[in-house]
Amino acid sequence: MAGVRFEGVHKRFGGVEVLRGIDLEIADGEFVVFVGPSGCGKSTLLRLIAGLETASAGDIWIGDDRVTETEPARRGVAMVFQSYALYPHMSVYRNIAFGLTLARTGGEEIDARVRRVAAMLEIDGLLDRRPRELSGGQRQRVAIARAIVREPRVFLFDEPLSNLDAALRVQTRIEIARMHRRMGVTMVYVTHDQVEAMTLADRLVVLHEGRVEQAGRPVDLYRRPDNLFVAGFLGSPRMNLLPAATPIGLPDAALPRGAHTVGVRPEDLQLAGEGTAATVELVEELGEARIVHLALGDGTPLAVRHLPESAPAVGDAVRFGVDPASVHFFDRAGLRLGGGAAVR
Amino acid sequence: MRRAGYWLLVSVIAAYLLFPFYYAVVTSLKGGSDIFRVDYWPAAFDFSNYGRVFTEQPFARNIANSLIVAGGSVLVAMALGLAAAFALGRVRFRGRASLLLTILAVSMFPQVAVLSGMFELVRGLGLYGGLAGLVLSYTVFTLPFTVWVLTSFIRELPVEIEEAAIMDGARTWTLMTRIFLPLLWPAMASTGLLTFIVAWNEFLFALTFTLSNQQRTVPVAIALMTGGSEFELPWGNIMAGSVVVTLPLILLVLVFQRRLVSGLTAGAIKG
Repeated sequence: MAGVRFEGVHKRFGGVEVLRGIDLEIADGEFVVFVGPSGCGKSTLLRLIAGLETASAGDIWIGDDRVTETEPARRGVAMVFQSYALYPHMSVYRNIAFGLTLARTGGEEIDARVRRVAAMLEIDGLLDRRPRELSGGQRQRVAIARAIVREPRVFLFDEPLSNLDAALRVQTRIEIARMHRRMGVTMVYVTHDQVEAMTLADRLVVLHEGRVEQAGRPVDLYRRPDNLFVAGFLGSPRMNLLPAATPIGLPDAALPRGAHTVGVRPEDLQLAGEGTAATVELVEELGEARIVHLALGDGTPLAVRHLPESAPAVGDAVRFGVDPASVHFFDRAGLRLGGGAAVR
Repeated sequence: MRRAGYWLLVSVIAAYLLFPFYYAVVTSLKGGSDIFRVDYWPAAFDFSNYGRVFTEQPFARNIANSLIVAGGSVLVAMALGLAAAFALGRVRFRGRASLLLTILAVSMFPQVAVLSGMFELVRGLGLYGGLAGLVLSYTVFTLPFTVWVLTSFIRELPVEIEEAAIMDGARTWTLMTRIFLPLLWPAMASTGLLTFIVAWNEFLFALTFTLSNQQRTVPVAIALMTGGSEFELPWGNIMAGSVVVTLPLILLVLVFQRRLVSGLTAGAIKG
C-alpha cells in the first residue's frame, strides 16, 4: 500500500497542454475522486498514475518510488476501465489470472488467488464463462476481480459505473465504498458524476482546464468553494451566481469589499411572506422537494429549493428571503472572499 | 413468385459459375477420342486419366511444391502482416498514412510490370530455380492486402483491451501472440485463405522462376503437359490434373467458411 504524489506534472499532447502543473498528494489508504467536466484532464491524470501516459514534465511518486518512467506493470497499480476491457477470447478465470500468469506466479498460487477473489466478488460460478456471456454488472465484477487479484498498492477506476443502469450503479457504488473500507487500499477514482464523487470520496479533487481548482473533503468543497468554478460545478441544481449588485435583499453591510459575484445555493433561499419580490417562471417537481425557478424584477433567473408541499403556481408573484450567512462572495477574478457557512 | 424468381436467379448464377468446372470433371472422365465429342453428361466413368496424370509426369511432386509454396507464403505473409499491422494500426509515427498508401499502391502494379525487376531480385538473392523464390514473390504481392485488412481490424479493436493487457504486464510480443492473434483470428483466416488461393493458382512467376519439372508448381505443370507428339495436347490429363488441384481449395473454403462468416459477422470483439 502506498500514497501517490504529483510534483509539478505537465502533460502535452502535441501543442495542447492538457495538464498545466499538478501538485497533489494522495495519502496512503485514501479514497480520492477526480471530478471535472469532460476535457479537464482527470482521465489523463489517472492514466499518468497507471503509466499509460508519460508526463511531459514533473514527477510522479507511488509510495517511496519515483515512477515517472516506470512501466505500468511494475508500478503496483491496477486499473478498472470504463468499458471493463475484458479479454473477449478468454474465460473469466483466465481473464482474472492473466496478469499473474505473465508475472510467472506458480500455478497453485494463481488458482488459490483467483478462486479467493472470485468468491469475494461472488463470481465463482462464472469462472468458465466468456465475457460476452455475462451481464454488464457481472463484467464489472470480473474487471474489479482482475484488478484485486494482483494485490496492487493503488487502485485506479476510470468512470467504472458509467456503463451500468441506474439501479446497478447505486448498488455497485456502495460495494466499491465497502471494498475500500475492508481493504484499506489507496483508491483513485475518476468520474464526471457529482453524486459518485460526493459519496465515495474521502477527498475530492476538482479539475478544470488542466489545473486543480480545489481539493478537500467533499463537504468542505460544497460549503466553502474556493472559486466560482467549484461553486458552480458542485451541487445540483447549481448555485445561483449573480452580479454583486443584484438586489436579493442582502444588507449593504454584508457585502464585502471587492465582491463581484454573489453565490447562493437554491436550498439557502426560502419563499416567505416578506423579502424580495419575484415571479415564478417554472416549477420542477422532484418528489421530496420542488425547484422553483424565479425571475427577479429585472429578469435575472434564480432557483429556489422549496420543501413544503404547497408550491406556488407559474406566474405567481412571490417573495423570498436569504440568510446572509449562507451567501458566498467572489471577487472579480472569481476567487472566494471570506464568508460563507462554516463547516459543521 | 418472388421466391421462385430468387431461386431462378441463384441457379442461373450458380450454373454460370460452376459449368466450366463441371465440364472439366466430365471431360476428365472420358478416354481417347471421346474427349473431342461435346457431352453434357458423363457417359462413362473412365478414371485412367487420373492415373496417367501422376505417372506421365511428377505431378505428386508438383502438388507438394504448390503446397509448400502456398503454405510458406501464407505463413510469411501472416507473420509479417500481423507485425506490420500492429505498427500501422497502433504505433503513431510520422508518415504512417503515406506508408499505408504506398503499401496499397504496391499491390496495384500488374504482375508483368514487375516481372523483370522481380527476376533480378530473385536471382540476386540466389533463389532462382527454387521454391523460396516463389514464396518471396508471392509474399510481396499478397502482403499489402494482408497488411491492409489486418490494420483495419486492429484499429477497430478497443484500445482499452490492449491497455488492460499492458497493465497486466504484457510486452509487445505477448500482446501480439496472446491478445491480437486470437482476436484477429477471423481476419487472419480470411486473408490467409486468399493468400493461399493466390499462391496456389499463380502462373506467371511460377513459370518464370522455375526451370525443371521437379520444381514446378501445379498451374505451370498442367499448362506444360505434353502428349505423345508435339502436335497433341493431352486434354484428358490436363482436365484430370485441374480437377485434382481444385479439390484442396474447395475443401479449404468449406472448412474455413463457417469460421470466416461467424468471425466477420459476430464482430467477435465487443467486450
